[in-house]
Amino acid sequence: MGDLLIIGKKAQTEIIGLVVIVLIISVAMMFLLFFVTKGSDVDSLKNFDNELHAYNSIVSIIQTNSDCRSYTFSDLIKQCALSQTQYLPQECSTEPITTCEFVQREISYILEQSLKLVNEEYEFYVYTEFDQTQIIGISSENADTLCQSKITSATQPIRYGAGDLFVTLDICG
Amino acid sequence: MIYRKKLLRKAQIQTMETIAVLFIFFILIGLGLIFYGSYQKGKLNTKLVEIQSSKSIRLAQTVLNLPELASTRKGVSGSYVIDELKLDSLKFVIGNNQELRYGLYQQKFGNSKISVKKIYPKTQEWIIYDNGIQEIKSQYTFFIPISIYNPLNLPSGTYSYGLLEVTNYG
Repeated sequence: MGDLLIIGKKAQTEIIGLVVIVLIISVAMMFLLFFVTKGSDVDSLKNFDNELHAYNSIVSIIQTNSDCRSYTFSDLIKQCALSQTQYLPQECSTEPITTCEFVQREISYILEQSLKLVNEEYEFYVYTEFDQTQIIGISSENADTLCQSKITSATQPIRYGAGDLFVTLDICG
Repeated sequence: MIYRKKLLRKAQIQTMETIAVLFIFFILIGLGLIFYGSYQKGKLNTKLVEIQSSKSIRLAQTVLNLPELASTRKGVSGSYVIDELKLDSLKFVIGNNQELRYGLYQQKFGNSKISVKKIYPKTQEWIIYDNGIQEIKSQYTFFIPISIYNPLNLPSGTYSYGLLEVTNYG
């Protein structure tokens, strides 16, 4: 009888030990799960950076005077929207080039020199209020994959003869 | 006598068992602390970068709103416009007037580098202020696209596209 009591008490102690171990492991696992699933905080500074770059790039580009008779890009984009087949005077380019091609080439260079410098992928496009198809479309190398998910966008409307046109810059990632 | 020996042996085994359990327990606690410590370290580094980047942003805003640089002719609403002539003048003043450099601008800009890059149509660079430290522990660079206005290009001045680059040293 005495032996049985001792064995019973021992079994109880073992069970309590097991329960304590299970509890400790459970708490540790919960901590681990908490840290693993918490993920990264929303990078507000990155968002601020992207917003600032998107908006300032657009407004600075459209008021910049180009090499071609000091036309601003705003004027050139308007001209491109009005007539997409119109060629620029010879003094603007050695080979014959349309206004749209010129704008595309020059803005592509500007964005490459500024946004690529800070490793930002982008999509730049111009469309009119009547037609959503792009008159001008420029995108960086990896924009196709990155611009599918997270985009910071800025749009600047420009008034031209036939209504409004919209210049948009999407910064991706 | 034999019974006593048996009991002693059993007690020894139980003590060893307790020691083993405690050993494993402390190893687990140690691992947990290491894990938590590395997590906190990562978090702290992120916070430091955040502080530095917000310092750079603040500095960039200060530079853009300096009357010594801001163009009096406003371009498209919301754009930051810097006057090219003022840029040349400020660079000259900071480079040559030590009293102003150390008395005024060093207090404003601290340990940083401020430069303006003209990208289009021509390329040019102005390093307005450069006050690095010998042992750089960390640095953060911030860019803002800007317009650079040159009032001398007739008839009404021209705008170029550029970048304001602010590097804050820590």
